[in-house]
Amino acid sequence: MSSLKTYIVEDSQVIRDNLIATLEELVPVQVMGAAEDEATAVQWLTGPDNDLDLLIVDIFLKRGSGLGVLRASSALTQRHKVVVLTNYATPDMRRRCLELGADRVFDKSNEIDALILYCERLASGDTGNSGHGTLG
Amino acid sequence: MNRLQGVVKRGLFVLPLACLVAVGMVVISEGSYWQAVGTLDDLGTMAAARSNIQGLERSILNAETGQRGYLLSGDSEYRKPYDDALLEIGASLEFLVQYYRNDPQASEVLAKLSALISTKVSELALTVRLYDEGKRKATEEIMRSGIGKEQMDAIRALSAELLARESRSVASGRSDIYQTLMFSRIGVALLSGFSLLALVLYLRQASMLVRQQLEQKRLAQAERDRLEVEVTQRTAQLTELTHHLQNAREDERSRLARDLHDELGALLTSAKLDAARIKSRLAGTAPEALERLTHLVETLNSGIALKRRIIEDLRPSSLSNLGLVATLEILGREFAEQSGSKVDCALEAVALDANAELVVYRLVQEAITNIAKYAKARQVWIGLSMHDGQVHVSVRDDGVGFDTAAQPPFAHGLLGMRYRVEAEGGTMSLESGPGLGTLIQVTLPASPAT
Repeated sequence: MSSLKTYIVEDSQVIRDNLIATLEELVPVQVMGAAEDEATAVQWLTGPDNDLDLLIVDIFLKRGSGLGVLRASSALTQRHKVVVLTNYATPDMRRRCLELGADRVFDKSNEIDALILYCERLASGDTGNSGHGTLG
Repeated sequence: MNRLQGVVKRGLFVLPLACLVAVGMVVISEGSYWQAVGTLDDLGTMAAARSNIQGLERSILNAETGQRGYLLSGDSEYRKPYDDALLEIGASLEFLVQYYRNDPQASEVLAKLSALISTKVSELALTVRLYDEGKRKATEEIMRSGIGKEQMDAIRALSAELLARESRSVASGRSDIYQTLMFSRIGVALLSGFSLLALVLYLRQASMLVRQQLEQKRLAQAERDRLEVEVTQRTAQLTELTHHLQNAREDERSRLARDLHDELGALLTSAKLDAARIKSRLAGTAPEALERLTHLVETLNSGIALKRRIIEDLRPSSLSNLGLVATLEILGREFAEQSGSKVDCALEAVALDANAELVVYRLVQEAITNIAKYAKARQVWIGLSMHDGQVHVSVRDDGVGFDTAAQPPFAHGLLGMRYRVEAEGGTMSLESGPGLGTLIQVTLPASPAT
């Protein structure tokens, strides 16, 4: 089980800290860094040392938008999984995120367990596409 | 004095003055008429008196002529004029005595004349009697004495005096008539003048009254216009205020929804993350604790669902996410589920800006709330359509309805709706009646093509 190199874009510090702690505890991840706005995230992604397995993005940020981060991510040559974690997981929003290259979209309130499960599967070498968390 | 001026000012004296003038005209006209008639009658009597005086003189001459003829000729033919003349003398004297009975001076003259005439007549009678008795000598003496001529002169003088008196009376009678006529003329002229004055005053008063009425009408109209302008202004202010308050309310709701969403959402998400970590640690070691944890997660999920509902109620995210038609469908479906009423939606996509969409949403929401609270409806129809750049919204129910003239308990809600619609440049109409259900129709201008 290799550790997932993960980068997190989330503007709420409460969630960011807790999410990092939870993932590090439950899943073999290595959190490479975190950003709370679009510019910082894009700068890190396009940087030279951007060896990455998983990108977790919130859509609504204090400055900029997660959608911009998705665009920047899909422009990268290196392949990695992209997950959107948002409070606005409407069908429309899900569609737009998937169009911009996101692999999965999780609702912040209801799909935390599904996100963790997805990360576990990724870490165990699964593609992550077969399972859809329903653990509520 | 002031009261009198008031009376003059108000023209209250005009009618009495006109009556007075009319009465005066009649009095003067009647008075003059009767005085003139009296005077003319007197003049007629005076003419009779004159002819009697002249007749008296003529009769005496006739008597004397008859007597002379009789004495000279002895022919009894001449006795007839003599006898006739005596009769006429009697009649004339009687008339004159009667005529002058109220005039002592004239009566005195008449008495003298009468005495002279009776002396003359008795002298004539004496000569005739002497002649008849054959005493011709005595008769001749009497005739030659010249007494007869003196007597006749005296009679003529007295007759002339009476005649002159009559002439004076006639002249004074005529001047009386002239005076009466003149008086009548002046009176009528004066009173005509007065009546003209009264007419002029009356007309002036009438025109003044008309002017006053016009002025009052103008003032009333000006007051009405002023009030109308004020009402329009106030209404505009109220509409503006309502608009402002509604905007403030929506802003407040948005802020509240955002806070709930962001802050409370973050806390709940964080709690869920903690729960996931605890669950992982407890797995296999403490099944009872795991059970409590599952319950805690369920409670958290209920909290999240409640938060969602509150946020959705505060600001329908489906409006921006799904659009108006889907949002109204959801609204209708939820109402049908809660109330058991049948809801029939006929909804077309329309072009409205975000504010107007929110107004339509709130309107349908308010209408449905009212239906749920009061209408006891079995069926509800919700309509949304667009023709000729106008968006039409209608909400109809087959419930109990209400008297639109009365103040229903939800009047403020209706008024709020109306103001919101008007603030968006639209119109709202309401049709209802006891037992007739309720129909709310709103027309809003469509937003320019987007």
